[in-house]
Amino acid sequence: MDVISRNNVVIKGSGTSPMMFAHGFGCDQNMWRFITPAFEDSYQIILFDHVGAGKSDLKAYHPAKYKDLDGYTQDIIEIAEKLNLEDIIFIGHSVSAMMGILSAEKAPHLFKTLILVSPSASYINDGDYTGGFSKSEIDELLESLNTNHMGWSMTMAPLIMANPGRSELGEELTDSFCRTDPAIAQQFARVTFLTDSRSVLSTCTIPALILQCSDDIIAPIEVGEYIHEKMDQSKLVILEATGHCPHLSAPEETISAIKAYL
Amino acid sequence: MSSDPKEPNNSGLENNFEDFLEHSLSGYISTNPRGEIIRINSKLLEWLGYNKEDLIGKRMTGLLAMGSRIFYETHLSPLLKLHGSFEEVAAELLLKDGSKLHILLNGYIRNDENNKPLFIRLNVYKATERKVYEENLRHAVIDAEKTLLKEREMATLREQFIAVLGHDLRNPLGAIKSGASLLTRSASSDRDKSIVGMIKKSSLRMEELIANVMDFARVRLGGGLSLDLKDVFIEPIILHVIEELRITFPERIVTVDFEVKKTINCDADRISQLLSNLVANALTHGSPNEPVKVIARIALNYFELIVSNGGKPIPEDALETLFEPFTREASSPSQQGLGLGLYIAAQIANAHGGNLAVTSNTTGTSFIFRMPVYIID
Repeated sequence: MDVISRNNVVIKGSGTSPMMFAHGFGCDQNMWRFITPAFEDSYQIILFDHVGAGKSDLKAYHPAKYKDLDGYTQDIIEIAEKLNLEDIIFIGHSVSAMMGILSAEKAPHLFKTLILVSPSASYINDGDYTGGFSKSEIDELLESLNTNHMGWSMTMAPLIMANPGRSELGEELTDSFCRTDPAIAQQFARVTFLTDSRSVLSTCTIPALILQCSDDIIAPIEVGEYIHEKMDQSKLVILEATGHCPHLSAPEETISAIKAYL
Repeated sequence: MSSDPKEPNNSGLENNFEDFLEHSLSGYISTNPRGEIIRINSKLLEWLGYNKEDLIGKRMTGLLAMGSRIFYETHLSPLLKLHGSFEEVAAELLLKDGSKLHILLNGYIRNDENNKPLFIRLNVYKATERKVYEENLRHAVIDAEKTLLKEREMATLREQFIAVLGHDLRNPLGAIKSGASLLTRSASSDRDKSIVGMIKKSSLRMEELIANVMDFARVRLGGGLSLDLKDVFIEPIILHVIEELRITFPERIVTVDFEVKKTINCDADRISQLLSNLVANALTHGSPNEPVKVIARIALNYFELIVSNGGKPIPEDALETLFEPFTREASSPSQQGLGLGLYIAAQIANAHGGNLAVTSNTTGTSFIFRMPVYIID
């Protein structure tokens, strides 16, 4: 299977310096569409869907491969190698921020900078560590995904309908956005919310920018501070934006924070 | 209506949207773009168990149970931002008393002319009954899938067992056969000759059984019967099969009526096997006092092979399952065989694009194999 179509890799922009965007759990590469236009003039933009999300090849989803972050990390490195990328600026949201750190650990020669948007090293509270959730709350999420066949499959129906007032999003968005197979969503949720990546933070040698929202129930401020403390070469920026997706709710603030850092 | 003096004058309340929203049977919430509650109707407050003052200014996601809250932040919130709306999402409310309520949620975001978000509106529908129904369906599906999986595993195991067994039986049988052949030459007394003959006859029968078992496994394990199709003269093939069976059943009469002049495109070994199964079947089950008749002919564009025997007719209920595997006469359990012979014969017929049929009445029983042939002059 060709890596490019497996991960629905999309390349745009007129620059040469590669900027790779990785979406988080629950969505696809369309999440970045308010951010990428600001960088298209000066960078080569690489967008992709994780296998199982968006327009990726669902046949390439093997539960054994994607049972942990390694499978996804392997894909990121394969995309970078396939496109002969070097000195990548990697921008990862949520769980993909951790994939960025893991990829940089495995193939440090490929990466120049990591930009971690609403990252979390581990979602579950553990002693002094505040992850934001108790184990039973995460179990409740996994159980609700287990039983919520409506949430994933049925949100598809209205997406096919016309989208008045938001025509700037384009047609292709309506039939693919956030498309997720329920069974895959379940396993991806498990991987996302049960992975503890705290131990890899301190060994990361690549400089990183942490973008932390000021009121994010998924990744609370303590988590951003923890990651900053453990990563030697990191800078922490607390955004005014609230929620878990500043690239959607406050794209201008997110863009200027990234530009200021670069 | 107000002109009708008999109608009570309720048009004020009827046209009052405030009242309509407050006393609707579904819940309504409006939030600012940050997700903080601006308005919430009485029905929803009643479900939640809160007062309005408790909730105004609070984050809407705080009303959701944790699973739904995470789902909202990671999936629904992006949907609202990018798509503008979502519909029919199953979620759970977290009520003041700590219990949860299953709901369906619709939501949309309203923007101003500059595409800046103004507010978010959510409609909440109670879905308790529906959830129970869905849960029942879900469990039924899970149970059915489990049962199916178990059955499939059992079936595969069984068929693999048969295939391995069949294969492993062949080697010792080969040794018995060649031993018997060697003994034929040195056997001097009539008694010895008769014993060696019996060994050979039984070996042949056993070989047939094993071939049938292995073919059965092959068909059932998904590979199907493979054919090696060639244009062949069918007469010597048929005569060879009959000859072998005559040696095995020297006391019986087998007649052959042959009317095929052309070659037939078929797998000669498979046709031999089919005929051998049919004739052996006729010899075993037919009346021992009557001959077994074999007719081979071309009728219209079909090649026909008919094997008939006399004796008691096959009972009607047995006819229905005659070509199914492992069916044999319940009335005569002493009869040897697994009941695979006719099944395999039918499979061979199918693989040739033909079929195998049976007629049975007081005058006798006939098995008719027909396959289409394309005669080139």
